[in-house]
Amino acid sequence: MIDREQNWALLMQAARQGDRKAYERLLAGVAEAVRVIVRRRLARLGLSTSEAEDVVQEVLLGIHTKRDTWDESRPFLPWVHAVARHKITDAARRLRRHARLHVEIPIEDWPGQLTNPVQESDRNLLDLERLLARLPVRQQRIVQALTFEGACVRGVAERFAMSEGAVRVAFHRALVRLAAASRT
Amino acid sequence: MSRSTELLFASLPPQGRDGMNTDRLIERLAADAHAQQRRPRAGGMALRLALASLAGFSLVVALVLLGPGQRSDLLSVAMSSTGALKFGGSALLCTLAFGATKHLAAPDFSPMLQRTLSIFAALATAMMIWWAATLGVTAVSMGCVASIVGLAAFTLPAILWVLRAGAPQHPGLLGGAAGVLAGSLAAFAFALYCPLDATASILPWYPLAIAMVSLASAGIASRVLAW
Repeated sequence: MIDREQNWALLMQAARQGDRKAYERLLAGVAEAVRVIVRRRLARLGLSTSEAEDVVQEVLLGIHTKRDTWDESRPFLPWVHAVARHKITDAARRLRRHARLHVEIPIEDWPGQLTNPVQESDRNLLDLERLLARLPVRQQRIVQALTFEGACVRGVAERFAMSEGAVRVAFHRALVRLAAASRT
Repeated sequence: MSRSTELLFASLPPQGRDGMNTDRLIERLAADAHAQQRRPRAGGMALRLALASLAGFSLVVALVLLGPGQRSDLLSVAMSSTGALKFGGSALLCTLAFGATKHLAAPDFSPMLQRTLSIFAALATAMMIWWAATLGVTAVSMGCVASIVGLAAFTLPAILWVLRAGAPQHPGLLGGAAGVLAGSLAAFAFALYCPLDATASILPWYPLAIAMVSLASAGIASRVLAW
């Protein structure tokens, strides 16, 4: 019985001889295997797995553009693994950079977006309430006070016996959790 | 996300951020591979690297012969210990660098060997710099270094060009190896003219020049060979 590595190696060799279907089967098999690895890796890094399919496609593109670098006298799996690892590492680096930049939302911008959702449907509002319900109680109350009630930071700080800085930090953390929760 | 929305998304084929369906991407890649199949392949990396090295070497030899010209006693020098150091040393370094470059261009080259190569290269470079500092730089030694580095500017581009088809785990390390290859080709060509035979005029200056080419090449390659 031919194992997966041998099967993939044979498919790649056939693809080099012009067998288009063999190449499609190879890429589909690699995509299926890589998809699991990518999701696991992104989850372990604390990144959203909604980007997983994008990373899978980058791995496939890497395999396609660099397929000539596989030496047929060498095993196929280490080659695929090396290409996938390179692309996944690049993607994880990029996503971490994006996550750092993405959460820098000025506190003044947020209330206007939530209380004037003229572009959003009723379904999105219901989803938002469900997302808020997943936050810790203190964060829920801070978000509701600042956004739905339109309270100022000082007022919220006095209400919850917190410093203004602590209110901003709690609000910022709540936004990070909401952003992550909305992508899962 | 509501349960009904979850079920809806789960029923769709996987999609990337730009909406491209992965199955559709696979079809396109297969079509692209099929289209490229009809064009004759340019040969494996080893062949392309050899051709690029040969082209660069031919160019610098022509530059030396048409410029300052070869030494009149080239044949006797080549047979001497000086010749062994200049020509033999350059040829040996060239051969080793060619092998390293060819392997480093593949993504599955052993990570442990890559680390070993990096450490060795760093130590060798440090040793050359220390040696040169100990001996003291002169106008003659700098002339030798500058000539080899200058000639390498003609051997390196073609080598880096063909390496763009590679898939290195560490583009900078590949560039460093390519720089040693280019530098040793340049050093060999320079030796056809170089009138100085004392060991102190060859070492550490020839290796130092090659190390400088290697460092510059590593810096360039970390950008142009990234994939």
